[in-house]
Amino acid sequence: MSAPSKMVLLIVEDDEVLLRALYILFHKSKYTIASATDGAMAVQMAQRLKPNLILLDLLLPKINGFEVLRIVKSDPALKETPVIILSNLGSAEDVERAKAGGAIDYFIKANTDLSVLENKIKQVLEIKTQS
Amino acid sequence: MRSAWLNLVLSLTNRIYSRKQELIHSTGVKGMRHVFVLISLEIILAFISTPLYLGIKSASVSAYFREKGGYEKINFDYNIRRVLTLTGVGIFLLIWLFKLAIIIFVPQAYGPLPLYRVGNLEPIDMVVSGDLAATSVAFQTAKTLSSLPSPQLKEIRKVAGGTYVFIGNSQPSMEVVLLLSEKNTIVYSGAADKNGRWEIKHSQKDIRLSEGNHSVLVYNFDAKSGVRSVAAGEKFFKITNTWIDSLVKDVDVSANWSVVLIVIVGILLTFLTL
Repeated sequence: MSAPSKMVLLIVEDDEVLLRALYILFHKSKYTIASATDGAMAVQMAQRLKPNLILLDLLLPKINGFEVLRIVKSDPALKETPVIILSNLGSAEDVERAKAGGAIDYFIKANTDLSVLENKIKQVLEIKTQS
Repeated sequence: MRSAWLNLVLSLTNRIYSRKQELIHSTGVKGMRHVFVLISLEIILAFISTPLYLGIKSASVSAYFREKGGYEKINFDYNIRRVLTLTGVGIFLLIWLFKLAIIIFVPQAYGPLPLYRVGNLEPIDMVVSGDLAATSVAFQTAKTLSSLPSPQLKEIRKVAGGTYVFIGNSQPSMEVVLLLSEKNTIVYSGAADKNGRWEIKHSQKDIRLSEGNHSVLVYNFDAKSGVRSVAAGEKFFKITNTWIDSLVKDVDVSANWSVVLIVIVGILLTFLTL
């Protein structure tokens, strides 16, 4: 099979229902969706897939999201990959920590409308395409 | 529409997360309240998110692997909590669907379900079948004439649909009265044919005999003369309920116990997933 023109979006989410909801949100778009349900799997898949964007939860089994973010951003092959956080953690410290770690945006699940998240991801990927 | 639904799924998963956080830090009755709310939310989420499970097959998500130069299927890790929750809801639904099916279909085969019992508004000594109503008083007050031959009860046959057939011999064309023991005596009458054969049917659909032994008495009754024969020897037969009878009888209790079962399963799931 030849290489696809689609961009790869890696969704890291341990909640099965939410993961499927996010898949439904994006799978009809022009992106190829990959998913990981724990931190270790997320790191492994990010290194294998070289996704164009990572949507990352922070509370994850095995390796937490902050650590995943740190590993991704310290990997020369992945450090330019935009990471958007979608998490239940909503304190200013968590937001600050994630942004300091290299996340380009931070969405708190309880306050997030999925259409806003969808638009943000499209916007980031379109900028990435143009660049 | 799709967006609203997905946001609802997101909202519910958030509520469940929040409730779990509160549950972890609570004790006593307050904790129990969180458990019940959690169970309710999980069940609601299970219903609302069902299309997610129906719409996406496992391994239907593919990703491009550069190192392999092609697509490869990626399986979702199936979350045991969701599986168990859906299983719990599935059991709940099955039980209630089963109950509904029994309520709808069983009466067609076995007669009305004894879901409610109404006390006698006018207590009487005898439950009388319709066509005997006019003569019921007459045979009770009839004189016993020992010279009048007694009818014979030869056979009690159980046929499909909960009907019992009492068959016997008598004087030709004589009226036969049959008494069935129950809480109230059940009275039937019928006429013997020209050969002296008579047959009386009792249907459980009309009057339900309880499980156990019942006695049967038969005698002849001459309405014109106002006399009756001596009753033939008392005979007994046994009503044995099948498991279907018992199930039908207890269906409401069984179905309501399913609620308790679901709550127990829900509590177990909640503690498993904290």
